[in-house]
Amino acid sequence: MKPFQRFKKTSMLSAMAALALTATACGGAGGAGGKTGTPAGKQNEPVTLKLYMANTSDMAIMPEVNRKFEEQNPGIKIDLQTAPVDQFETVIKTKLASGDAPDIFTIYAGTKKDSFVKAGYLMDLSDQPWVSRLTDGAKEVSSKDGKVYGLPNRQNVIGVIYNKKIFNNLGIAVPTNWDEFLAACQKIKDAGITPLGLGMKDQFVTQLVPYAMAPSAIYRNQPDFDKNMYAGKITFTGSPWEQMMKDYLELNEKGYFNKDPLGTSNDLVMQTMASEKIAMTVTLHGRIAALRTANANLELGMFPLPYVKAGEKIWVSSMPAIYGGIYAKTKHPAEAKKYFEFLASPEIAQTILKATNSFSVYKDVTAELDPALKDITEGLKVGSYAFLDSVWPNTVQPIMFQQIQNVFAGKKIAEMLTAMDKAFKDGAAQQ
Amino acid sequence: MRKYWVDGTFILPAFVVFTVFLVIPVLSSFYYSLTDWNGLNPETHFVGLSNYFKLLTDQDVWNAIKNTFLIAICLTVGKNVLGLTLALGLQGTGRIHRILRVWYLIPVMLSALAIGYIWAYMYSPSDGVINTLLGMLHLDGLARDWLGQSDLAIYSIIFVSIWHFVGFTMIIYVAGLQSVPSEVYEAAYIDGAGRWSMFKNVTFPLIAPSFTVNMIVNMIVGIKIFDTIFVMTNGGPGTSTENLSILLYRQAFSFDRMGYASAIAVVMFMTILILSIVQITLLRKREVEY
Repeated sequence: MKPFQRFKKTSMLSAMAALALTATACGGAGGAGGKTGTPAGKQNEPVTLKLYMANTSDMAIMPEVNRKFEEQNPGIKIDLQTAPVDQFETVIKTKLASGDAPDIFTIYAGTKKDSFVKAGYLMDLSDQPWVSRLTDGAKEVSSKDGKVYGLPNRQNVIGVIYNKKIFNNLGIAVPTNWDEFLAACQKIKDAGITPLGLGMKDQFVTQLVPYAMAPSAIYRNQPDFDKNMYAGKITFTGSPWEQMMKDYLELNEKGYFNKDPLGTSNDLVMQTMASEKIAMTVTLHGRIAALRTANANLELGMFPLPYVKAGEKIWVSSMPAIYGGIYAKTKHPAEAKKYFEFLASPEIAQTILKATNSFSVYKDVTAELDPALKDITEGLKVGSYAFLDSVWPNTVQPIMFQQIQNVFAGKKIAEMLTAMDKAFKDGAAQQ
Repeated sequence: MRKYWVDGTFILPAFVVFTVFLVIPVLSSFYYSLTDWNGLNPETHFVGLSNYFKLLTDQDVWNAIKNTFLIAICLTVGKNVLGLTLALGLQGTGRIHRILRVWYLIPVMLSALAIGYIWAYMYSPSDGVINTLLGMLHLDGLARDWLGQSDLAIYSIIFVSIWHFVGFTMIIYVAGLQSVPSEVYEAAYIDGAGRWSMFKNVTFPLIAPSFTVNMIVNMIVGIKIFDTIFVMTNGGPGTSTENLSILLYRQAFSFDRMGYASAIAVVMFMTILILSIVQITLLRKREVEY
C-alpha cells in the first residue's frame, strides 16, 4: 500500500465520521448557560429593549406602535426582531437555555407557556395596572397558578367563513343546526361548487373542524371535561370525540370537502376560496383579511359551526392570544413594564385590534369589527370555549395532527383516540 | 520534528472550530441522552439508560427506523444506478456532454428547502403541474394525491431527493471514469471484449473508489435526510414519512423531550458509524490498484 493510499483511507474515515457526527450535533444545544453580570450602566444613555417575537398576525402593526412608544419615551429604544411562527419556539428555547435571552418574547396562551413559567423564565406581572381590565378568559389563559405571566392583546375565533354571494344565489340561509348545515353542503355540491375547503397538508388545519365542534359537543354540557381528563376519570375514547370524528369524516365521504384534502395546502384552499370556487371553510377569523386582500369583491360572512341538534345552543371556539411575556432576569424590568402598560392603554389596544381585525381582551375596549364578523360576534355571546390545546398537555396536539391525517388516510378512529389518550397521560405526567 | 509543528499550526484553526462546534455538542448530546432535560428547564435529572429502554418499546421509533432505512436504501440504489448511467452517457468531452453535465448538476446547487417547496407545488393534487400534465395527456387515471396518500408520499419524497442529488453522484463517477487510463480500454478492445464485458471487467472495477464514495455518502445522506421531508410533508400524512431525523426534531421541539431526542440522535450516530465502517471495509477490499 502506498503512503498516499493510507492518507486516502484516513481522510475517508474522518470524512465519514464528520458526516456521521453532524447527526448528533443537532441534538443538544448547550445547557443552562452562564448569566452575564450587570454592567455598570451609564446615566442618560437610552435603554434598548430587545424583543424577539413570533411573526403572528399582530406583528404587521407593531413597528408603527413601537415608534409611537419611542416618541413618548425618549429614553427607551425598541429593538424588534421577528421569526417565522414554526421556527420561533425552537429558537427561543435555545436562546433561553444558552443565556442569550431577549427582554420580551412571544409566549403562547394556555398550557404552552407553562414550561417557560416552570423553568423560571417569565416575570410575574400580576401587580400590573392592566390586569384588572382583562376579560376573564384573557386573564385565565395568561395565568398559571393564579399569577399572570403574559400580556394578552387580541382574541381569535374559529368558525365558518362563507361566501355570501353563493349562499344568496342558491337561496341558502345561515344554517343553525347540523342537519341544516349538511343540507346546505349538499345544495352547494349539487350546484357544482365545492362546499367546504380543507387543506390538511398543513397539519394545523386538521384540528380546525374538531375545535369548532367541541365547544357545542362537549364543553357546553361537560365544562369539567378537561379537568376530568387530567384526573384520569375519563378518556377521549368513549367521549363525544368518537361521534365528532365520525361526522368530520362523513363530510369527506359525502364529497363536501375539496378532492384530496391530505395533499392540498391551506394556501391553495384560500386561493380557491378567493376565486369563489369554494363556498365555505372552517378556520380562524383572521383569514378574512387575507381573503379580502386576494379578492376585494368577495362578500364574506362568518357564522359559528352549528354542530348541534335543532333548537340547541351553539357554542363557539374562541381564544385570547398573548402578545408576549417579560424575561424574569431582564436588566430593564421597569422599562419593559412601561412598554406593556403602553400597549394595554385603550388607544393602542384599539389600534392593534383594528389592525388585526380581532376581538378585544379588555373589559373597557370594544373592537370595531369587520361587518363580516357580525354573526359570529353574536354567537360569542351565547357561549365559548378555548382552543383545546391551550388546556391540554403540549404532547397531545402534535399527536392529534398526525392521527387526524391517519384517519383521513383510512385508519380507524378508535386508534386515533387511543393514541391521543396515551399522549395525554404521558404529557400530564411530564408537566 | 519541525515539520510536525508547521503541519500542526495549519491544522489548528480548523481543529479548534471542529472541536467547539461539533465535538463538544456531540459529547454533550451523549450526556443529555442520559437525562430528562426538556430543552428549557435549567434543572435536569440523571435518569441513566431509561431513555434507551423507552426507545425499544416506542412504536413511533420503530416506524421511523423502517422509514429511515427504506429512504436510505432507495436513495443509495437510485442515485448510484442513475448517476452511473448518466456518467457513462456523458463522459465524453464534446460540448453537448459538457453542457448536459452542468445541466444535471444545477439541482445540486439549489437548497433542499427551495426544492421541497417547488416540488410540493408540483405534486399538488388539483392544480399541480404533474397532475395537470397527466390530464393534458389524457392519463387522468395516473393522477394521484402524491403527497397526501400514506403509501405513496414516501416514494414521492424519495424521487425528489434522487432528482436533487443525482448530479453530484454523477460527477464523482465522471471523475472516476476520466481517471481510467485509455490504454486499459485499448488492451481490452484488442482482446475482443464487448461493450458489456468491457464495463463489467474493466470500467466497473477501475472506478471502485468512486463507487465507494458514492455508496457511503449517499447512505449517510439518506439516513439523515431532514429538510426535504420537513418541507414537503413534515412526516405526514400521519407518520407515513416520519424518519428518525423528523422524529428527533419533533421529540425535541414539539414534545419538549430533549433528553429522549438526544438518545435518538445517539442511536442514529451509532447506526451511521457502524454501517459506514462495514461499508468501508467491504468496499475497500474490492478496489484494485493499477
